Amino acid sequence: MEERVNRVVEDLLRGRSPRIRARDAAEREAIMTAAILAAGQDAHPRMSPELRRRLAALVAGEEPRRVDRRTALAAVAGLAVGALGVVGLDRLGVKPGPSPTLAPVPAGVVKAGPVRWVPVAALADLREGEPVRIVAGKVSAWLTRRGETVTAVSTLCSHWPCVLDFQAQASTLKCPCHTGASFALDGAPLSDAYPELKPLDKYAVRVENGIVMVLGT
Amino acid sequence: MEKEDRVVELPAAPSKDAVETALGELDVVFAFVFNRVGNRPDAEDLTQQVAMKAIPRLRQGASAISIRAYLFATARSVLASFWAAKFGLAEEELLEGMGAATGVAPAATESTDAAARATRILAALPDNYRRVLELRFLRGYSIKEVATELRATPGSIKVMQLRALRAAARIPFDA
Repeated sequence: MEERVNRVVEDLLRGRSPRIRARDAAEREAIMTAAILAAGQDAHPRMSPELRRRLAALVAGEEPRRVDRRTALAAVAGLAVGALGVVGLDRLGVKPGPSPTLAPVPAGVVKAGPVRWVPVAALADLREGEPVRIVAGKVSAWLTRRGETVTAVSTLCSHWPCVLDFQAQASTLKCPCHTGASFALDGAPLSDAYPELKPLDKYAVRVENGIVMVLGT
Repeated sequence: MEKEDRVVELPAAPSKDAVETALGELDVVFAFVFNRVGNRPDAEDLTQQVAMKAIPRLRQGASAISIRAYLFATARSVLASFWAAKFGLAEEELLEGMGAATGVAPAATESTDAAARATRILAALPDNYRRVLELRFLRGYSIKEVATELRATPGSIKVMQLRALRAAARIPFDA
């Protein structure tokens, strides 16, 4: 147990969100006290200018760039993307199997309806490592070409339903809602500050006769 | 007192002043939350959650006192959900058997100086516990550095750190 609590302390001392598991619950008082002591490193904490700007926009009534996560989740659930994975050009010519089985849609979630391959771009128009945003029915994705492979990841942050921005200089997808939350173009989380950030949802891609298609609705 | 009695209201297009007033309150919320989660990413996330919950209330218009009370009640509830989710517990389970030491339970008064709070909590501990936590949290020593300083093994320092945190958890958040 002392190892696990020490790991939490290490995260806190590095200014990161601590990695805590359900099995750490027995030591919750010690862990929460570690957080209080870690706060002592900053006697007068103030919000970052970035958070301040974001909150000012929220308070002023500017619409945050959010979409209904349920809609996004419904699209993902309907697509059973996890089972399909991402199909790159290396699998060109391989016909997708029978229609993907629809995952059970939880109550209260909008059903995405039938899925289909939606043409979204010409391969020749995609520049190496420069993602473009596409929409395929209810699916909204960042499409990135790497050599002869094209991948599509959700435009929504895996943490909060905020639309990610492309940062050309760093070649990353950055969440406007959280300072320091960012992803690689393949959807892998990069943020040191958020060690528990999940990868972005991926969508199935296929290319036929130079046309890039995404499994959408 | 005049300031306390003023009505804070955010119309559809709030004035710059109204936005600034609300942000001033959120500044205090941020410090309040940071002092309990001990890290910036979570503190920012939770402050934003509090703001989003509070904005409809701000739009209806209310006195500064009631807005502040609402913001802090919201912040406490957001904090309780945060820790409960982290530990995989229901909120009532989280606080079961816990004192006010964690600062999630309401405190009558609160100092805003987190460093002073840490020092006060540490001062109430037995010497050996205090030394380990001081070196770790106030001076940023690694486990190895603490072990060298105290002439002990890293393993025993980790054990002592855990015992010291358990002991510190029994000291009230605000004296």
